[in-house]
Amino acid sequence: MKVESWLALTLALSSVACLGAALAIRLSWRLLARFMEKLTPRRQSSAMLALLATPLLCALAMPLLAFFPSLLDLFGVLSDHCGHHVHHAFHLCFLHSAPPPLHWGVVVLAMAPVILIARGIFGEARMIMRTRALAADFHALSTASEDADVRLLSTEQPQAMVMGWPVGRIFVSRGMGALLDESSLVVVKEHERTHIAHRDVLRKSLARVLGSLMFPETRAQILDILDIARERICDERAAEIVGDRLLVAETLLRIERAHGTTVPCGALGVSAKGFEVRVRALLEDTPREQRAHTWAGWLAALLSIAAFTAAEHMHHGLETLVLSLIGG
Amino acid sequence: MDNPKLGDLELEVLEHVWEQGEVDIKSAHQVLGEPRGITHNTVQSAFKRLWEKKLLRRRKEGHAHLYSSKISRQELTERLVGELIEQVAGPSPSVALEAFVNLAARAGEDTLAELEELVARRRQDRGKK
Repeated sequence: MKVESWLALTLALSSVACLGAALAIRLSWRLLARFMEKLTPRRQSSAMLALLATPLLCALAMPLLAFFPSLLDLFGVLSDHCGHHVHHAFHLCFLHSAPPPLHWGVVVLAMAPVILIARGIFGEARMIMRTRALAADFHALSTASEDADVRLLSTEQPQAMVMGWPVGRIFVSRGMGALLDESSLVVVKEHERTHIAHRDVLRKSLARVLGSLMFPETRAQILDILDIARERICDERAAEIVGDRLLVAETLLRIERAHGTTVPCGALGVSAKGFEVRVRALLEDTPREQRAHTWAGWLAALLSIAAFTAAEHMHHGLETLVLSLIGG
Repeated sequence: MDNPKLGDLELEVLEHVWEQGEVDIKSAHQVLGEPRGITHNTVQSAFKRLWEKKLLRRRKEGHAHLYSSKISRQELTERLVGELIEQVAGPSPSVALEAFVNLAARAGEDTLAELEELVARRRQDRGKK
């Protein structure tokens, strides 16, 4: 019973940290979104993935902070200090203390993020299976094209997509070939090739699973920004290869005129997301890469130092919180 | 007609029929089944399922059935692509479907016209330089 109680309490603390992080992102979203607008697509994409991972990282960090003294003792760095304040009714110490009685509320709280992440993984697995099945059908029905990595779909509808999992294959329809001239077709193919080179299908899967710990509205907004950022990265790469940003913008416009492409969530289509933002971005100069992760590195280092310094206060604060909750 | 869900063998059978035009099960088994150790009955079942799904037609010649395609590769592809569009544009997509489908927000006519003009003007400016 001792192990189960500690486990439930640990999971409950993780749950609180996870909820706290998700709530903090939800409340500061407007500010964050305004800041994100100023970033290049590449930075935006990394920042969105980092935001999506934040609740999970907080959930993982919380037990480390809560049981900081016990962990130091366990690894022989410093001996635990339970003995110094024996007057406490309860210690967050799995070495020297008995766990608090297991309350059903703690169990429910402990299970919440586990259920959410399991639901996210299950949903994603279902989507992967459906996408893979569709990709297999498309592959079987498609024919080889002059490009070894591009399969030709015999449909008059203009379609171009990367479909499959974890990498995906490029499918372009005859309709797309009829709609676009040779140079625009190169744009489309290079755009899709960049999705494959960057493992975007896998990246999106990871983002969706991580997002299952966020509030639904924030999750949708973050995934949207991430999608558009990935599309913009592919647009930029295609523009770099053909050496003409306007040609990429013209290609997007022509596809949109023909009602765009329609793709399932597991697939990535050339005109699937953020059409207007992408065309306007292509009319501007190539985004200048911000100085790589300097600020992000400093921020991470500062946060780690702050967490390390505050670990003991956090430990005592959590003890007081748990004590007041269980009424000891 | 419902969109057919096809297995690997069924797709291979269809491919074989598209290539050959009209085939009997015995010859199809020699090409598709024997190299992979698939029994005659399994190949026969695949043909029967495709016939039941109305993707093949058949006529009897002697004791054997001769199968030919009722649908072209293009028609089947369009049906599958149509399935995607139906999922997106369906009147009340289920929650699961909403998660599966990535509905692209379509630009309005005004936006399209404005962007086209902007791009054309930029192209013109570049030409002058």
